[in-house]
Amino acid sequence: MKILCSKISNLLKSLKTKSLQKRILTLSDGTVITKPKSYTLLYSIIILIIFLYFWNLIVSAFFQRFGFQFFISRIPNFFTILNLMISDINFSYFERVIDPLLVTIQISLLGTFIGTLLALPIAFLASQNLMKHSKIPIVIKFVLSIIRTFPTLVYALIFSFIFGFGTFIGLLATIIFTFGIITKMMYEVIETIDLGPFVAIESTGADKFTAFRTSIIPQVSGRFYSIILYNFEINLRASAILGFVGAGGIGLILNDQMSLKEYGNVSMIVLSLLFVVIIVENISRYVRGKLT
Amino acid sequence: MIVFENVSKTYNNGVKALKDVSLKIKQGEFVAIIGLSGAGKSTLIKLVNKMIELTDGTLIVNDKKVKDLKGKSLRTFRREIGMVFQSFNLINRTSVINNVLSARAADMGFFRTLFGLYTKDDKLKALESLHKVGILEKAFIRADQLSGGQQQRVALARTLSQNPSIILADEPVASLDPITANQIMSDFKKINSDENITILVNMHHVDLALKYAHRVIGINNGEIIYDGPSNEISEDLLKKIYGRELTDEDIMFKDK
Repeated sequence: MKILCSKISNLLKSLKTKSLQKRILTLSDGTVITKPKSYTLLYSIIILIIFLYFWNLIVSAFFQRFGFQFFISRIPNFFTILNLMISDINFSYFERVIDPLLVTIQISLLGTFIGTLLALPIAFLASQNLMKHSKIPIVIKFVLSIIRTFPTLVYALIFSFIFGFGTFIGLLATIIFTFGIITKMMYEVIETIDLGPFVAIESTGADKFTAFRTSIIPQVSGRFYSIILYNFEINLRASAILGFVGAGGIGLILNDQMSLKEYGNVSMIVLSLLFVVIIVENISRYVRGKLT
Repeated sequence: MIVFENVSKTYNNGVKALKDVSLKIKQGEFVAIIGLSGAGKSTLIKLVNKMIELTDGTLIVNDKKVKDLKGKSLRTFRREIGMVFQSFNLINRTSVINNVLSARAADMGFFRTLFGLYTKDDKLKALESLHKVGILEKAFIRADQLSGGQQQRVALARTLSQNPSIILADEPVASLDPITANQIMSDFKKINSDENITILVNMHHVDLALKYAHRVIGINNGEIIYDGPSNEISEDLLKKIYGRELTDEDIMFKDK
């Protein structure tokens, strides 16, 4: 054992001197410069090991249990469902989609709006560059990461235990989820901006809020709008599963039609939602182009 | 009136930026602080409006002990002191007039600030400040579309709209070309003589300092080497301030 240890340490030592020799570069006039140590190779190996471990855990385990043959043989089933959805698409079902779709849009719009209003002041307090040496940002960031741990669906589930079912539950869940994400995206933007103007406004005798409003907001508003629109989009998509726990919107009928195996109706619902999402995407691209 | 009494500043990393500095600056003086970078010029200026806290000694500005100012009293105190920076520090994505107006926000209530509701009086005042520095016609253009010299003028207008009794300028012309630098310095001079505002300007370029300021303070390694009228400073003293012969770098107009 002792011999093994000393052998390993010797090996490490020789590796060290070898890498040091490699890092020393000599120029034509004899000047010597040493490159700093690089950990890229080490990190790559660690990441590769972790990857292989997870691959073994999930993918290999599946194949060992069911066999590769099984996996291949089941792939066509996906296309069977897809085929049913496309060939049986029921356009007349659109009539029944409109109302829940409108509810979904309402939930997403209102949820994004209220979530943003709540996020703005908290994003300010969470930005370490504005708060200097205060501990507040660290606390807020910790709480935010707890909030972001749960997806919208879990919040909807929790609220449905407390308040029962309905659209209002969907709205509450959307607000909390939006708040968690938008706040993070906003403080990340704020933490990268040039603080010069902020300092300049502070030097005129303004308090932090005033300096924030007058010097930071104009600098970040363009990126904030695109963050808000992106979250509106996320909320629209999330609404498709919100209905699964009875939180209103398009997910309600999606859940019903899926369990009834009415794939023609399902595809109409998905198509309508896709349509709305594409519209929102285009609006946000347009707005982003205008603002930057 | 600005009074330094045995003021010292040591940074947290142990660097002694100012050592036992005493000086008195009367209202309406135009003072240039010269020296190498790292000599303590910037520290001296930033102490005046407490952007940096002093370590030892007393500093009295407009009859107030700077060390005792905190929170609201500090903010009220800062309203009388304008500041101009090397990198202009304008809010790029907004119009010139909004930049100037931003200096008025310190006096406004919460809701007016929140929604950016400036009064007509504020706006007229902002336009007048822009007129004073000669760029009134740029008022409604976005600030980042202006040249460096124009941006520094906007910064000057912003400071003027604050109605300050003192203007601190930290290397205001260091990132400008010689001709624009000269124009900005004459703007400072005009403001100084027209409105009796004390001007404290940091600079590296000796010739500009001697040309525009009444009084020059030379600093080397945190200590004052020379403090007196700009027309009485000798070559020898300049060498002492810079710790070496003057080079091209220290002079903006090289052919002079």
